[in-house]
Amino acid sequence: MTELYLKYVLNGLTAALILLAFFFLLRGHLLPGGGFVGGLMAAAVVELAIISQGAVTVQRRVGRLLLPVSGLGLLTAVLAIIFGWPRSGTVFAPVYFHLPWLEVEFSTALAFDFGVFLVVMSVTSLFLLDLTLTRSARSEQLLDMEDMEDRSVGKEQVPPTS
Amino acid sequence: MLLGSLAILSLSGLILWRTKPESSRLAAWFGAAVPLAVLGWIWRRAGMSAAPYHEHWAWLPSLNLNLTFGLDGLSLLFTVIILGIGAAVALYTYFYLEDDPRLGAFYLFLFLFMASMLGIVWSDNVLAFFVFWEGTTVTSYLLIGHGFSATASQRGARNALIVTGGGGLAMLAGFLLLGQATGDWTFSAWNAAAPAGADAMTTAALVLILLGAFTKSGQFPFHFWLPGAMAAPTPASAYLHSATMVKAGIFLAARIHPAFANHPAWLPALVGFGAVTCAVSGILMMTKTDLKGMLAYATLAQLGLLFVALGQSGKAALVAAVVGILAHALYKGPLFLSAGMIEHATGTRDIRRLAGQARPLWSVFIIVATSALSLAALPVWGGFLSKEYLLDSLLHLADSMWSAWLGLIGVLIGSAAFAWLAIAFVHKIFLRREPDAAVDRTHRLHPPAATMVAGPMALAVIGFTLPLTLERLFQPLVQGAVSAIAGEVQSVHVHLWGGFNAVFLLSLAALAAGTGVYLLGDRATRILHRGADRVPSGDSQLEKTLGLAARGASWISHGLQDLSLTSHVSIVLGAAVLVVVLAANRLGSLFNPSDLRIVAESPVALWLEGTILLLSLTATLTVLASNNRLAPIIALSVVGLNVTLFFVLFAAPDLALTQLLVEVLVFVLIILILYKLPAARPPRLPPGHKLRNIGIACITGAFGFVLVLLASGRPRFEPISNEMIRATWLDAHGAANVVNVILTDFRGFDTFGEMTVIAIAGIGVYSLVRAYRFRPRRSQVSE
Repeated sequence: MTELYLKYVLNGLTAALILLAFFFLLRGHLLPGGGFVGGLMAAAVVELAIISQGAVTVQRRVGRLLLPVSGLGLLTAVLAIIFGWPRSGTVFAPVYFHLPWLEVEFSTALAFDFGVFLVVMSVTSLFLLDLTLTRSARSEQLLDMEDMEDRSVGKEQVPPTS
Repeated sequence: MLLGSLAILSLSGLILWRTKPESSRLAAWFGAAVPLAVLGWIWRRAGMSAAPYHEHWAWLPSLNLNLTFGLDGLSLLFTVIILGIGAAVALYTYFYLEDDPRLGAFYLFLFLFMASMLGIVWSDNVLAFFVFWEGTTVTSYLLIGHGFSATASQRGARNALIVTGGGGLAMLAGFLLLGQATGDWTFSAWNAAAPAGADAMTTAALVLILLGAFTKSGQFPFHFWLPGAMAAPTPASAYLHSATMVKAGIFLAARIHPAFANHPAWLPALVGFGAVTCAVSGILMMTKTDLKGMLAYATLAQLGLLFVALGQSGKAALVAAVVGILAHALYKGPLFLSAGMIEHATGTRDIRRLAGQARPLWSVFIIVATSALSLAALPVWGGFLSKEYLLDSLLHLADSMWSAWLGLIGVLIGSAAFAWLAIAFVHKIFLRREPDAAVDRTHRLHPPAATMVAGPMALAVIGFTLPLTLERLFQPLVQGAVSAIAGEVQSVHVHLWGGFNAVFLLSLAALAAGTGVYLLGDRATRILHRGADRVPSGDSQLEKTLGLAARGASWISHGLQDLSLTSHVSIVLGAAVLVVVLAANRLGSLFNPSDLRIVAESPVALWLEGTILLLSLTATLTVLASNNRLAPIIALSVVGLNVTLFFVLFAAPDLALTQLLVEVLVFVLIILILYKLPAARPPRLPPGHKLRNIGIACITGAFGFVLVLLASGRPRFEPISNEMIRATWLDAHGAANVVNVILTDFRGFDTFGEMTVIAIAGIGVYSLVRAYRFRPRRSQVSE
């Protein structure tokens, strides 16, 4: 299911959506938005790619990243949680940085929200991708090919089956 | 210092694990040196000093969980036993598991066990005590299951885990009850207050704590796990299941003794269970033929004997308990290790197949013979001293306490059994010429290396010479421990020889009875067998209970998790409705029809809302009327988008944004999945199912309607949002989006929990959907 017109607008739309996702993430503390909405927006990018290029292509490009990215999101959140620990003696205490040359204030709450963003984006994308990949003969083929790659990368050469 | 000792031991375990100990003999000596060094350190700093040593480290003060360590006479006695025997066992292990590739892991678990056990005897805080207690349970499980491919190991390890772990939980419940009642969370506070009247709370706590002590120390009817644990490698059996871990129950009873001393049930319970265990295990022991099995039952009997000793209030009985603990560790440890060496050398552990080993295994013979002196309670060794004091105390109490008679009988049967065991070990294995059963000739006899003998030999020699050190070492140690149990300073004078009196006659009678049974041989064994077969073994009961639990679990999961998606959804929706309706029922008086209000709105808003409502209704009817797959999905999406519009109208941009994104993502996803489904139409539902589905849909819909109606009525309480909005302005550095501030700041912990759930769900989908990727590779199949 690859749509011709989508292929042409894909690049522009992808860039715009990713920017929008970050926009929502960053303004979350002040105006409607935040990590959850931003993450969903970013997942929409993956969904767009699935429609326009097919799940198999997407799987090949980013499929293996999704689960690690969700772990990264959790890690980011944990780091944000314990960042203020040494100073305030309690976890979850937000720390604010004032960046004078940018006239912007940055807080660990934003880093925490970024963790939410990563987890929501990667797991939602994983749902979308895996559910569209299932039970299509093409995807079986793809996964088999990956198996073969894995094997040729492995150190010991497996002799052909008798 | 004490916390540092625990760290050193754990670290040494890690070092031994990572450095592949099987490649160098240095590991054996390192393993033995560390516990001895730690013991030396503790002894120099705190041994024998008049003032008890204390250490306090805050751990989780909000849970009353602190590492409050104390070193009094009782803990010092156990520290000496744990570290001293630990050193001998660590040395021995290297040679016992000489070719085992998992020797490193064994050392790691052994040292972690050592640290946990020390934690038990040092902890004054009851919750920390529980943590260390379960630490020994877990490490014991790992050590029993060391040979994890063998079914016997698995089963023994599992049973030990269930029985002692379950007992540990009961004990924790008891601690919590007592802690709630007194407000204190340390043994020292409980002992000082001596709260125990016989009120219901204290009695419940007493029963639960006793359950913990009795399961850990294998008292009848929980005795079955200990013989099952003999599947462990012999060093673990010698160390955990005779010298240290099984004595944790004894230690608990001794530690908490002053707190419960006034409770009328405390002493009789200890004496009763101890006496029954002592007698039953003594008889069971004489029907066994496996060396380790016999020793395991003997250990049970000895533990029973110690409980009998603790169950009396006099000083003599406490002396009996303390001397018994020390003597038992010093003779049972070497006996177990000898059983391992005998198996190692001859290839069998069956006493019927052993004979005439006195000359080839002369070093083992010396160890067994010297240890047997104490086992059989011959004067003047430790076993004899303990039993003299115990019988003396029982005879004195027999007039005033009915349970003393029970104790007396139990102790006498147990003593006879010990005498039998000592004679059987020395005579059958070493002295007699011909074995009862055919010997496996294929195993080439190889005597144990001198280094392997060193550990048990050292213990046996210490046990043998213990009476010589009476003044300088033995007596102060005993006095300290007795004072700690009694809760006040006691002056103790241990007499090696109490004179030719009634007590000594009773000892002689028990000795004679044991000898008699041994001389009768098979005839006596057959009679004993008949009695032993009647004793219920908790093993099969446990097996039955586990089967029941498994069947109940599968019944529940099959009942709730039907494979049909429809019934699954019905259960979830029905449960949600039911729970809220039940809760709302109790709040029924809060509902007042006059709260419902119709607010006159501007005509524009009215028009907008009316249009949205009409659109939603049309879309819903389309869902119901259509008979293919695509149309209902599109129509449902329309409903969802209308809800989004409502959110916009009611000034909830955050909700609207989220709703819009979810709606779009899910819609596209379902379309993509539909694309893969076969074109066939879904099967027709039977009419009953259709009715049921309609019913559930109507109820859920009506429920949602009423809930929203009530919620939008006049608020009865001050809404929590006011406080949230105020706090957002004041605390969150001028942030304006309350929703986001709640998510990331105020309720950050909840959000983090939800993130974790989402990530786990992702892993679940990943592994379920791609399960077929984990089929065995062709290369593995061909192997």
